[in-house]
Amino acid sequence: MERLSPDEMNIILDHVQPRDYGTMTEVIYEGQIPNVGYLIVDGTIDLYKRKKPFKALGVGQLIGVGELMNNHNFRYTAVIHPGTKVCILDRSTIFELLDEFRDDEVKKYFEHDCA
Amino acid sequence: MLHYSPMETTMSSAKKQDLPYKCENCPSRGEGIFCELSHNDLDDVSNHKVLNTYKKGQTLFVQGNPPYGMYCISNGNIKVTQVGEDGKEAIVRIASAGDVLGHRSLFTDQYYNATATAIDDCTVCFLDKKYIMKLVQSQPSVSVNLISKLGRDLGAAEHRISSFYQKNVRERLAELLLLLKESHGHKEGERYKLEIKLTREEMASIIGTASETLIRFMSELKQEGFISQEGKTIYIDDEKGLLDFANISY
Repeated sequence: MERLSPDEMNIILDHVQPRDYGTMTEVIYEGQIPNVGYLIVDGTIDLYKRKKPFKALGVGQLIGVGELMNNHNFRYTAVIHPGTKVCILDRSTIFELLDEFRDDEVKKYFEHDCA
Repeated sequence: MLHYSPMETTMSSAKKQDLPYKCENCPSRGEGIFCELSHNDLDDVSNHKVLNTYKKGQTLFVQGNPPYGMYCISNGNIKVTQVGEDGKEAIVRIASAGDVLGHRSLFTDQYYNATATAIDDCTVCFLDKKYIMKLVQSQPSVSVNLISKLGRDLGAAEHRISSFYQKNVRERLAELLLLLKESHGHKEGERYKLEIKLTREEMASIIGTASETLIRFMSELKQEGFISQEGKTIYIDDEKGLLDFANISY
């Protein structure tokens, strides 16, 4: 999974205020279309495949954005750790970002599913 | 260049899952806050929403987490619970088809003060906050329906508080059964079948008592002939008697 550079992250951070998660939460369930995507600003999100740990994602990584925009089912369950800070990227926000940065490199990250 | 076509992708994805991908085909059509929108506006909502099924026990949102949108229940039942400082969980309400969840946090910008968990398998649509706010500003019917919803929620909360102070546990149990009859009752001959399966713990949590107490009073109501039970399904056999028992008049 690719990681956004600090400059690329800043483009999103300029538009979306990061939010804290206070409790460990399953934010996306395996097989569902994500309600929103996430950019990890601080902390960790774990991915599980059939209830088994698959991968831990960290700062700069996007989760669920490609699936959200393409209506694809997410292949993992994503569990956010307490204290993790994320930018919540909903459809409206992503459309706004795509409109504003049509030629920017950031848009390529919105196309692909979480590999 | 990105070429998103949400309509097509929503349709193909939903067909795979056999879900009511368009609002016009929603099983709870006529009961939701978007039902007065025109055909085109409703199509726009259909294209923007995210449609999912939640299995029993899965959470839609969790107390203490940031809100980012509103959930519309297409079918199924969802319990909304609050955990107190003592760690005890209280069910504050049961939401079902046509209800919306998460709307209050949208307007206050506070973190969720409750957790929403599927009681049975549910079909739920999600709309993000920015989109809802756009609809609220551009569609008066959505605003009015949301205000009406908030008003009803407030009324129900006030009634619940007064019920806790003015009624004893028996009356609260009878009242709960009558409320479930209104929301989930299906008439079968002279009686009503409650089309929702709540555990004894869940029912006890709603009326603010211990499971043992609830079980005792359920037995009393059965002995009096007000209710009966077949397997896990509860039937209201004597609505009038239950109304008198609950000390209320509808």
